[in-house]
Amino acid sequence: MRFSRLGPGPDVDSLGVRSRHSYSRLAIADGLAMFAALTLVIAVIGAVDAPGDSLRMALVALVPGAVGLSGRSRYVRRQRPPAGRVIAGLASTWAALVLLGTTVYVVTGASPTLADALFESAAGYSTVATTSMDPSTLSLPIGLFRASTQWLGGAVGLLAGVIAFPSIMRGRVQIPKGTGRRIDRLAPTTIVGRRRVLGLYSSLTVVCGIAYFATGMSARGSIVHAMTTLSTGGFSDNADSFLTEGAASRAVATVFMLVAGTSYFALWWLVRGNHRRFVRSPELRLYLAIVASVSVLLVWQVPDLSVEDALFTAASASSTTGLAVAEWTLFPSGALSILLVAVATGAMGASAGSGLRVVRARLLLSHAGHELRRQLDPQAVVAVHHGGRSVGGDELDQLTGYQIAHFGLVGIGAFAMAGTGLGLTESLWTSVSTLSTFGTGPGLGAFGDATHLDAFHRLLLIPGMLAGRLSILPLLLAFASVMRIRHLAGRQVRRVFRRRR
Amino acid sequence: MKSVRDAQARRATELHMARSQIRSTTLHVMSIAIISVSAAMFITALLERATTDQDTGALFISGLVTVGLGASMWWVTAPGSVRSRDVFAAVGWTWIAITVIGALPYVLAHTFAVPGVGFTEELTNSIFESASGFSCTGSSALTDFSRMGRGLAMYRQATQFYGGMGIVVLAVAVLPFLGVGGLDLMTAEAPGPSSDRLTPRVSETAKRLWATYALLTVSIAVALIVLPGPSVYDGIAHSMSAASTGGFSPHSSSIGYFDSVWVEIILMAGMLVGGANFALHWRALVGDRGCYSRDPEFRAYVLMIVASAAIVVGFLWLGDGMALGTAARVGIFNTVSLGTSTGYGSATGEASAGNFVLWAPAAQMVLLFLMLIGASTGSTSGGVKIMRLQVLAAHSIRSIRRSQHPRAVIPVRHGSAAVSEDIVTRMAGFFVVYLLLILFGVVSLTLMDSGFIESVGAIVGALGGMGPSLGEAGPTASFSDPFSQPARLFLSLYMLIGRLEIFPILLMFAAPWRAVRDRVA
Repeated sequence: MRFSRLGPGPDVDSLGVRSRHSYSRLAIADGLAMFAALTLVIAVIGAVDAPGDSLRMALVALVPGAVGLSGRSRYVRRQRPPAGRVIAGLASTWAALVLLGTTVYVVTGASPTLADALFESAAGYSTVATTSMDPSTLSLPIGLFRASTQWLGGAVGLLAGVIAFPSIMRGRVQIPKGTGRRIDRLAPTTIVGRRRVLGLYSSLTVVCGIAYFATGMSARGSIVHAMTTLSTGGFSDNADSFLTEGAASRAVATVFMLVAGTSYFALWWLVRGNHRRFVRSPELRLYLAIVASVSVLLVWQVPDLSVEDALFTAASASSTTGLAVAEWTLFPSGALSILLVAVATGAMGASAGSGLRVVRARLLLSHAGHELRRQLDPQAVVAVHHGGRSVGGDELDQLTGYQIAHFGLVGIGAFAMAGTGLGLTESLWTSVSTLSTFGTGPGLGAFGDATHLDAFHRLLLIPGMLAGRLSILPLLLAFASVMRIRHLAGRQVRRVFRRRR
Repeated sequence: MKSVRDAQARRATELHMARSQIRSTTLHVMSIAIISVSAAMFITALLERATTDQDTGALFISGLVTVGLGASMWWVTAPGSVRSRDVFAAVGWTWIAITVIGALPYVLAHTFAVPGVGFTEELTNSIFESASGFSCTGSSALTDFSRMGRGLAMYRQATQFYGGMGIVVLAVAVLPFLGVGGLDLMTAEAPGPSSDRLTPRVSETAKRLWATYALLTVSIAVALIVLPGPSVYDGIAHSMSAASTGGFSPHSSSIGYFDSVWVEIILMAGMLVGGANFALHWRALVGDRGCYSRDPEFRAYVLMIVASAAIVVGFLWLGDGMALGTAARVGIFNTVSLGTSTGYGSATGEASAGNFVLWAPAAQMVLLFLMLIGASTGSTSGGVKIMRLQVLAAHSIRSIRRSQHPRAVIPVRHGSAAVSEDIVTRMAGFFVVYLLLILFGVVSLTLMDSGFIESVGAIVGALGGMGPSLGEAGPTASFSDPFSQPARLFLSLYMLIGRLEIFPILLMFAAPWRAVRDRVA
């Protein structure tokens, strides 16, 4: 394949078919094809319960399916696409999926207004557990479709975190451990890696669904909850999430939420029988330690909370899933602040979860310790270690720069929420929760009910959802592009004025 | 002239050496600081005797104990090494010592003695008030201001005057033998990433900074007394807490007590000057008038205050439905007060327009951001500081650009000057530690049964030297109600951590620990 560095360019393969290099278009085509396949399967299953809804869904899926398949045959992937293209491609895929989801909700009449449909679709594809619907009133195809949006969103986030970002930012510590070293790679090529990740993701979803079903959950509930648990989405088939589910179902949910928040690199080692390496992963140990600590503190702070429910709530917060077994927003402030820290820290790197990520939190803590040491001994050479190697200053700078931007975005989000009249606590929580794709919290309730928010308020949350699911890079790059366009336009205007003079 | 001074310094050092003394920079700096605090106690004792004569004994006995302790410490100690860890220990332990000793007048005067409240609670409140004063925070555990005589109230104001420019800077100014390492001591105490050297001699720099500070305080006092007409007592009291951006007032309703636009305007001017870099003020005083406009931090400082005030006034006018005049008055005053980390309140009562906890959430969010940001480096204010945020914002933008162009060489600039990578890394490290401290503090306070938003406001406020918090700990409330006794002690520690820009308090145990470790080894 000819390697081109400039924009989409024509290429002719051995069969004489003209194809073009474009990461973004191919990513969108992949997304559309996956959307169409999943929606058609759901339409077929859902035809038993609501044939009208199923037919409309199938019709909506046909066009993107055709476009996706045509795109897949027309475009080829560059060997090493530039970072900007990869980020733009992922963001465009997400946007395309959100628009299609909106169309499904509008066409089927599941959402009364366009704003409701857009919000529900964005929440689904960004795996945020906030909803504007009453899930207990939805037909089978709509209920399954709603869960599938989270499953697909989880897949996009996972592929971004495990395959796309590591390939463009090789060796950066903000990317999961060891992706820069051959020995730690999930697969020799990105295509094989993608297959393995999706294979593992699908297999775990199936196992989770069977486990739910074995605990006595309905078939529909099992499918819905399996898709929303493994994707760390948090949508439920019940308006009160897991509040009315049995103890066995809750136990299954706890286990699979923890699995969903685990790095796919670690899970891959486990699948390949490398148990020792899995157990010795420092990030995994810290992740489990956080969940255990949060559970203990919750039991201490909330007198009536059982250990099982505390563990469920801690797993939900740490994996940023958003399922709930109690109205935890009414917990004492100590418990709330512990949960906020857990949500902000989030899951492991290279997992389906979001948030700051345990690996980054660990490195930031090391960086803080390093800074204290440097204050004492300004001449000392102190290295920050991670996974058996020392992390370079450049990498740490990149990490801190990225986190400062993230922190700024939390502030902007909180201000925007407060601007709509939400209280201070609620605004801070909503901003953190949305950027971590957790979705629930004071202001939205433990079950993520957003029906009381007005349309403007809901639309404000959508950029935060995108930033939470695909990292803040797409948003910031879009902002940078706008600033650059403004700068170029300004320069052009100044030139014109100068010429006139 | 200089050689005479050097000779005097050498002779003083030799005299110290002659006595068989304990060589400890920490104890020696501490002794000077304690002696200087005793001066405030004696002066305010005389004021108390001449006016209310309520707490004269408490102030006088405190002064005697303090001067005795300081003098004996000064006599038996001599300055030792001034390595980084010794610097942190000296500054950190000095501030802890003056906070504890500074609480003595409140304890002896039983200012916080309330029926049904034990001595430990009284002691906690006294230490809290003292920490709040010296760290220029302005939070108060007082519920009944009439329990303080005029002298004790003035002593409370004076603690903020001492804390404003820094008691160690004062020590550096008066101790010639601290010339070597004195800059490190000043830097460890001064707000901001580095201490500007106005002259080649560190003690001269310290003197000039204190002179500028004293001039500002006197100017505010004169303006307050001459123009709008509060009493001489109120003028002096408020000038000390305005120049130091401390925020204490002898009145329970703070500046709302005067209900005067002129008083508010003068205090706003004082707070704004106090929140700017004092090195700039000195340069302006010696004739460099353009130094303000050339300084990128000062420009950002002015822009931040103006933009924040406009947003707050907008929300109060359009969101809360206040009259434009009232919105502008209370909005601008509180923005300047919190933007300079002073913490004066203009509320005349709990339900009045100046009580910002009743404002629209967005306006309160702006105030919370201001509490976090603080004002300029080298000023008397707290917070992260504008210069750090400017550099960190540039650093963050560079990180994002580098994710697009991984091999690009992009310098971080502050104004037109490139900032060295070492400084950028240090500032990023400082910010990370600062955020972790906020996180730890909020979780700890909420675990001590404090409300969530009260804890956020109190921790950000304590680290930033602000004073009033949010929620139930607003500008008209005392901290003794929403925060438990351990929570108040915890906040006292946070105030000192914030005033000394984190590191001295966190690292002050390192020097003694290493000394013990080395001896054992």
